[in-house]
Order: sequence, then structure tokens, then C-alpha cells
Amino acid sequence: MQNPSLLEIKDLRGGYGGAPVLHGIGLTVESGSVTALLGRNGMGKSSTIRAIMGQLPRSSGAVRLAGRDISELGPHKRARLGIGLVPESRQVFRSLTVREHLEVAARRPASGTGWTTDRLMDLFPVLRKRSKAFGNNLSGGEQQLLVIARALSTNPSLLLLDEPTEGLAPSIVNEIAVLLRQLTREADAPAILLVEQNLRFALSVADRAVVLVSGEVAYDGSAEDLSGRRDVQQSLIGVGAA
Amino acid sequence: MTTVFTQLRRKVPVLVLLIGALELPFLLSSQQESLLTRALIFAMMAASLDLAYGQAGLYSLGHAALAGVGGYTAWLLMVRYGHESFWYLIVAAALASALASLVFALVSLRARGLYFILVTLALGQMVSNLAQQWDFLKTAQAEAVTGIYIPSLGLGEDWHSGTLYQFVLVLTALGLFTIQRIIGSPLGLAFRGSRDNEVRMEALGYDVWRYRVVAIVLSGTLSGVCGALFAFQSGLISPTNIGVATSGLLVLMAIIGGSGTRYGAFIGGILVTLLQFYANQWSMERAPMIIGGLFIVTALLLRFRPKVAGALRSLTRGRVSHAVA
Repeated sequence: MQNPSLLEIKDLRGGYGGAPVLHGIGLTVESGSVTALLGRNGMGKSSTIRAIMGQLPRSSGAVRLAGRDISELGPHKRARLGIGLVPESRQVFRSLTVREHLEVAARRPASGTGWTTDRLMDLFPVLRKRSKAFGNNLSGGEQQLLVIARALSTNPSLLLLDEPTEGLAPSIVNEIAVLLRQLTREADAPAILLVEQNLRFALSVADRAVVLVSGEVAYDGSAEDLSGRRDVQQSLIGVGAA
Repeated sequence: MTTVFTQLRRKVPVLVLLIGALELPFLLSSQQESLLTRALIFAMMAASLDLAYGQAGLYSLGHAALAGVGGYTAWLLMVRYGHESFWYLIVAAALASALASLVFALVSLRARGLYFILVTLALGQMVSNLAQQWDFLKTAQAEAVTGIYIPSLGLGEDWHSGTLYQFVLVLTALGLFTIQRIIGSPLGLAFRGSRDNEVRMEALGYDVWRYRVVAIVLSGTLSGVCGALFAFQSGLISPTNIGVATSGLLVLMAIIGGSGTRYGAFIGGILVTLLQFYANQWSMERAPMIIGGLFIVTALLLRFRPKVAGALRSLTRGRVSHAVA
């Protein structure tokens, strides 16, 4: 029998109140892979992330983590099972210091030492330098790195990134891309599901790309293939003509 | 080595202050000793409120009722059932307040924001009304229950205003120390995280609701001890002592001193109690105006506090943050 995928979403439907946004999403994420979730604004990318985390009301379908159905679980239980979230617009704790962010999130992994505060500060040297600064005294770029480190501190098997480059200067975007590639080379790197508007950034870190159109999967292939498919980029994502 | 040394050095001023405060009865009249004892009790009550209010962001307007449960429990066990051991009564008061705050938490945490505040207000008022209406909680015709006195520690102590002050001071120091330990622990971190951003904390694996229940129960338990001390010292406790006016006063204490800071609520408690006493002495009629005015000024100044705090912080650090983006 084949091992189950790390994350498996089956025919997932859901939305807020009477307004459905997800119309039967099907998606798998394998251990150690980086999957980019692409699409125009309002196509359900962030909603998919929220549904995986348990923050979006689900009407039907299932979410499985390592073969276990987690559809009925609340966000904190999903987090404990190994899902880490880097939310849209960052959301640092304004009255916690950088070090406290990592400490409050820290959870030991099932095996090994995992991502300790020290190891995270090695990976993100700027956080060591700013370890006593409060969350709301950090720049946008520092906040983004902190939030990624905070999510890693929970030692997730699956890391969800919701538009990590939003509102950041190009140089910082490059820095984050370098960092994510560095992260994926680590032996115990989590699988990553990355929601992005920035196609170039997404394709530079992902090895697989999924494009959503109106709450459904419209394209699912390797990131490399999508890089060459200008037609798909233009019709489904609305970029790539340049 | 150096960290141990700096830690010790940081404790020196606190120890000096504590020893100095312990020696105060040599300088004070017994009336002043009683006033200071009262101030310590209220400061401790404000500090216990701030554990939920300032740290966990649970704005309660019913805290005095939780302290009241402790006070009434001590009275009940002492006057109605004849228990005379301090330790027995104080533990019973703490347990009763813990139980009451658990009920408070389970009911009030069903609401959020402004509604949470209103529910705590209503719950507090219910407790105070119960004390007013229930004959079991009354003596003779008076509303206040009397006949309670400072119980025995079983150590052959000689209670007078000076020794009571010293004893309450030691208890207060222990209480403050406990609160500091909680604030500095992972639990305190979880309280502040939940206050800042509930959804984020959930996504990091925290059952925020459970942490909030813990915050309210810890806060209520400590206040129960203060309520019992209040009853012991006053010799009586009345429904007005535990009503919404007192709850509001506790909030004022916490905010004036600096809610959410380490010693803010405690210092605010001392200041407001002293101010209230001297205002009353100056003019019974004008005292409520003074306290009310203070309330309004504090509320108005609060708008500027983030700026002041931010300015102070950058001054003490001596540098501005280096921007990455």
C-alpha cells in the first residue's frame, strides 16, 4: 500500500455564511515538496489556506493530514498536529518581543531537536539582532521573517504561507526567496504550500504549481512547466505577457 | 555568573523597599498603619485584577464581586460556623473565589468585547444583590455583616494595627511575587499572546478559551484572599463593598498605574486608596467628584499613553529601530 500524501484535500467546499468561495477543491501536497497556489484575486487561494487551518466554515469535502481526517478539528488542534501558518498581512504580536514570539510558538517535534529558538536565529540572523524588540517596532520585512520563524517554531510538517511577499520591497522579496530555498534544503524541512500573487517569486521557490479559478483547480503541474506556459499564465493568472 | 549577579542586583531595591516598609510602624500612628494596610489590600486586589485585565486582555467590571465571595466566605465560616484559624479561613476564601470565578469565566467567555464587559458587570451585580437580599448573608437589620475579626495564625501572635500591617505586607509581597512568576512564565506569554491576537494563537496550537478561563480563575482566586483580608481588617463587609463601584475603582487603579505592566496596577492601587482616603478626610461631599474627575482625566489621557510609552522606550534604548524594508 502506498503512503498517504502529507496533505490531501478532497472536493472541498466552503465559504462565509451563504457565500461559498470554494467549489470543490482537490489538492495534494507531498512531504518535502513546495507547492505554489496561484490565481487571480478572489479565486479562493487564501480561503483554501484558511480552510486547511480550520478557519473557514466547510460545507462538504475533506481535509486529511498524513492520512488522518482533520476536517472536524478546530484550528488549535490542527496546529498541534503539525500545520504551521504564516498568515496574510503578517500579524505579529505587538506586545511580545521577537524572542517571545518564538518561545510562545515553540513545540517539540516528534523526533529530533527540530527548530529551536537558537537554530531559527541562526537561519534568520536579523532576528537575533532584534531579539528584544517588540513586534510592532519591526519593519515589514523583519515582521515577515519573524512570522515565518514563528510558524517554524511549532515544528510543523506542513507550512502554509499566505502571500508572504505582500507589500514588501523587491530586495526583501529576494531575501525571502533565498531564505525559503535555503529552508527547503534542510533535512527536516516542512512541506510548503505557498499562496502568491507574485508569480516570479512563487515559481522561483516552488517545484509544483496549482492554479485556482473561481474556487476550482484549473491547472496542476510542475512549476517548471508553468514557467514555460505563457498561455496558461496569461489566461489563468493574468500575467506573463511581459 | 554575570546573569546571576545582575539578577541579584535587580532584586536589591525591592528587598530594601520591603524591609523599609516592614519597619514603617515605628514612624506611623495606628490610624496611618490601618490606612496603609487597606491600601496594600486594595493594591493587591488591583494587581490580581490586572492579571486577567492587563495581561490577558479580559476587561472585567465584576472583579470586586469575586473578592467579595472570599470576604463573605471568611465571614460565614467565622461568624456562623465558628472557625477561627486564619489558614483555614484564607484557604476556604481562595477556594470559594476560585469556584465563583470559574462560573464567571464559563458564563462571561461566551461573549466578546463590549458584551464580555457587560456580562461581567451583570454577574458582579448579581453577587452583590445576593449579598443584599439573602437573609443568610445578613446580620440583624444592617446590610453589612459584622462580627468578623482578625483570626489567629496559631503562632501566639499579638494583633494590633502595626503587626497586621506587617503581616499583610508580607502576604502582599508573596502575592506580587506569585503574579510576577506567572507573568514571566510561558503561561503569562500565552495570556499576552491571546490578548494581542486570538486567531494567531489558535493557529499556533493554543486553545485560547482555556487560557482565558485559567486567567480569570487565577485572578479571582488571588482576589478572594484579598477579600478575606479586607473583611478581617474592617470587621465587616457589605454589599456596596463588592458592587460595581468598587469594581470600577479597581479598574481605575490598574489603569492609572499602568495596566499590563509589572507593578503598575499595584502602585495605582496604593495611590488611589490614599487619594480616596485623604479626599474623604478633606470633604466627604467632594471626594466622589475628585475620584470621578480622576477617572475622566485618566480616560482622556489614555489616548496619548501609547505615544508616551513609545517615546520612553526609544529614549531608554537610546536608538531607533533599523528598518529593513
